[in-house]
Amino acid sequence: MWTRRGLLKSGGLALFATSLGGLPVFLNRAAQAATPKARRKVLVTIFQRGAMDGLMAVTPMGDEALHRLRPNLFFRDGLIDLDGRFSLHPSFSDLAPLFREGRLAVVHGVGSPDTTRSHFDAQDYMETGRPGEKSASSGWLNRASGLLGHEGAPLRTVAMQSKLPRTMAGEVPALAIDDLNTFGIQVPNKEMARKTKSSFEVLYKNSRYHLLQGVGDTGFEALEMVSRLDVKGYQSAVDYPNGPLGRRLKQIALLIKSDVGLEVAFTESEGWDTHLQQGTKTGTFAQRASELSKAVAAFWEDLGTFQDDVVVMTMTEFGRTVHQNGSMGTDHGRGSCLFVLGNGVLGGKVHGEMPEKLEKDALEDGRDLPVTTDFRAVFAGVAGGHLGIGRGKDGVLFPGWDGDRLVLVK
Amino acid sequence: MAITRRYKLNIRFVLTLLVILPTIAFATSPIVLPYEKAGLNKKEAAAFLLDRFAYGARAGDVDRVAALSPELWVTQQLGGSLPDGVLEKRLAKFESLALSAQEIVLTYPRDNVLRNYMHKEGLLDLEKMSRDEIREKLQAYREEHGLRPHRELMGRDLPGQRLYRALYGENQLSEVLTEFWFNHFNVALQDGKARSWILSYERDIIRPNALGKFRDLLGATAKHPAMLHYLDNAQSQAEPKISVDEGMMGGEGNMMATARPKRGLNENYARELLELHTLGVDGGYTQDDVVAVARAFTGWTVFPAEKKNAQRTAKQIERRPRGFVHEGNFLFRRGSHDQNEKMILGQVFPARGGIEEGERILDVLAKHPSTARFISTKLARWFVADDPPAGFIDRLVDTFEETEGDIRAVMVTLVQAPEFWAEARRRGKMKSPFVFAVSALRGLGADVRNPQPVLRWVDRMGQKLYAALPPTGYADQAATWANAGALITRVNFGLGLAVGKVKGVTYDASAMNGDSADIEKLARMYAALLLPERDTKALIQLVIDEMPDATKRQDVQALAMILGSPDFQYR
Repeated sequence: MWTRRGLLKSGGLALFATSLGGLPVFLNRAAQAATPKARRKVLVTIFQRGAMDGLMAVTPMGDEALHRLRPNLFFRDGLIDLDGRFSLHPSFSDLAPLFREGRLAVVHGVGSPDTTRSHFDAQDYMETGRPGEKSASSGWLNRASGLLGHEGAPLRTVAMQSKLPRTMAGEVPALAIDDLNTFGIQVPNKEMARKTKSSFEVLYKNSRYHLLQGVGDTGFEALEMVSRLDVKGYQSAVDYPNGPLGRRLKQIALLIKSDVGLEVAFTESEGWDTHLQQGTKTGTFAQRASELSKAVAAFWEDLGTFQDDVVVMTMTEFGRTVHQNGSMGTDHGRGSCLFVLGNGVLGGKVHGEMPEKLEKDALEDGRDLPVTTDFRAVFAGVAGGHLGIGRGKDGVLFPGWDGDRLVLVK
Repeated sequence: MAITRRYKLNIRFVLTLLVILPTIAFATSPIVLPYEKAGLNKKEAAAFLLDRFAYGARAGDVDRVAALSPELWVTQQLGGSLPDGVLEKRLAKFESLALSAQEIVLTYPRDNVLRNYMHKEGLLDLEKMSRDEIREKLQAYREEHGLRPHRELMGRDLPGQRLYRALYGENQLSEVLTEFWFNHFNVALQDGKARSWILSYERDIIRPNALGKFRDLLGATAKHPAMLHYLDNAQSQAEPKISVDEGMMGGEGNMMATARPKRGLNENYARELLELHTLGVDGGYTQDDVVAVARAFTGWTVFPAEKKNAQRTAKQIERRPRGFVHEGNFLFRRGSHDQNEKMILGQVFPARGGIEEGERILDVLAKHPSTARFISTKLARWFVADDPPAGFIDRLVDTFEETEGDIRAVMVTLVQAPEFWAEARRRGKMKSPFVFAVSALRGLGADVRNPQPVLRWVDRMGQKLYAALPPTGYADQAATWANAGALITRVNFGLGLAVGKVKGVTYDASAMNGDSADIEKLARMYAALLLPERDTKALIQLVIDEMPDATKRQDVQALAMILGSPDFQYR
């Protein structure tokens, strides 16, 4: 039975939490302190919930079929030409320079082999990385965290939101932090806070509720680390846009720059389900795009010298219909596009395939942008390439998938 | 002494009978609860019921329910009509509760809607005026016209009444089921058009039908503006010039062609109706079914709340009564309806079905075996366990089908099942943030004068009320809530409560502990109060051994540790 007295004996900082290797964590840390710490690579993923219309984000502007099928949504004025065929929606303008510098890649026609058009299922499949599998128990980001090949910090796998996403469910301890400012035992006296934390640690260690045992471990260790950060005093290099995404990315930047051992981060951008009045240059889509674009651009600049360590990747559960619906919006589709940002990324290019003309016979079910790249090929390529997970591990990362990685990271 | 006691018992018995006689009339046979076979005594049974059919026990509740008898308590709760004087007093300050759905929409306009209207009428200039000027103009206009700020509806009344009902309502099962059904037929306040209708949605159709017939609930949600807007059906229309032979009979020719929706059509509601409200994602429907159902519900829209639009529409109806069906805030427009023949779930729906076509589809869906299973599974998950045994679900399905979706009847089968009582020792359902907060406050007998701070805590724990953005609502499994960050927030909430620092909340701590400084006594007392009839020996010992600082307020620390304990996170 773990007691507080036992913890105090150990020096108060580390718990007797055993690592995967069987050694108590604090011993490992001591060992690591002897060798210079390698700065870890970080993968930051942003899930655009609701099914982003890839065709409006990155438009094949010369496609007359698209124009004909979306008379009220198609527009050319203000589009930012990327490569002569594809253009970026003007609200993504903050990302355009990154594309031109070769740091930002687009992959178009990405999607799932599973044809579900249910948000719930498709998001689930994309988060677990096991399309079609209802009873997947872990998420791919959790599995990726487990394949990093070295001892992980308590703050290795973090979702910057109040609920832990499916993609981070699994064996590896993962943390959902709504706001670093409020992440701590809220007792004014620091000494009392520390004692209180220790007491709760023991309570949770000895609980018969196993689920909470693990959760408690991760939580209290992470608390300790965050308590040493000066969150309120953090001066970002740039202003982030107002709104939840900006706030979350700012805190992720803080964690990265504080060298706490963050390696896999997740956050969300909501509101992409544009069934109704999607808008064109302005409107619902444009607003969402603007927030995403500004937040990511600010994040990138804020990273400064840490840019080399970081790759940002967006994803969305599926795309939207090529044609517009009766409410000046679009319904659920299949293929969409995503963005990958990093100094080592094969940027300045729109990867993937799209039919030359989006006529009915080229579309999936006669209505949707076909999926020409399996999302797992992208995820494996990015996570594998950037985080150093070897191809041999793809069967663990994405069970049931035997495709080829899309190489996006040099 | 014996005489008075018998006298008292008789009076209580008679009064109870009078109260519950109407509800007994509903039940076909008296309820039998097999808790003894599960190894529970009456008090333990009562405590478990209060955890599952209510939002947790208040001080003295376990004794009251045991004295009444668990069977009688369940019967009362299934009746859902106990007098609620205390609650009604608390609800009085939420002014919107006294208004009709339409009045609410008109009285609490959204800020941007009011701004745009005033700008159009020349009452303010959005381009030239400063933010402060605009705000003043809005406020003045509201005062002049008897309007209220939108945030009073959405930020105060709507979530506040829900909190108060869970805290102070006597018809606890009704409240629990209202939460369940709202989550099932989820709508979210992030939807600009739907949001002003949400209070009415819960009050006027979810709660009154929560223990009724599933078909009634289904029909009511299909016609309520909150749902019509949230899933966009209000604007879904048939293409006026639909050629009949392009209809959906399939037959020869490409089924893919029929999969393409006609212009004007919005599939959102049809999809969620099948996937989330009735059959479930594996319930046996196809994409073609979704499109056909979407076509069937074209024309199901909202009767305008705004006066001028309402008058104009009323005139249209007057001129062509057969072109419309008007039921309160619901309007069926025949002109927007796709009149073609349709094939749905293998059944033919002949042309020119009118509004009856949609009604018939709802009938088919409500009676479908997949629906019985989907709903039964969800109920089992909410009330019994995250992973309910298959045989148990089968019995719920049987009841659902035999009674044509009578929710009360299904709940009777549920509460009489040994599988329900087998969970009493395990206490394996993790509390959602809302349930955690409410159960803590009920246990402490808290007076929540201002609901806002508590609601903010629940939001930070991951469950902002009425804000589950996707139509799936909040998932009902431990994994949803069990993450380190949210756990820390719960611990902090418990600390805040124990220290008396949660704003808007007061409770009488001294009445509870009698100012005792005996650690063991304190730990026992709080465990008995907050975890009645549960196995808390180990927890109590831990609280005693691991008190952070024995020199400081031990009552506060003991309470905080119990509230933040793993045990209290489960019900």
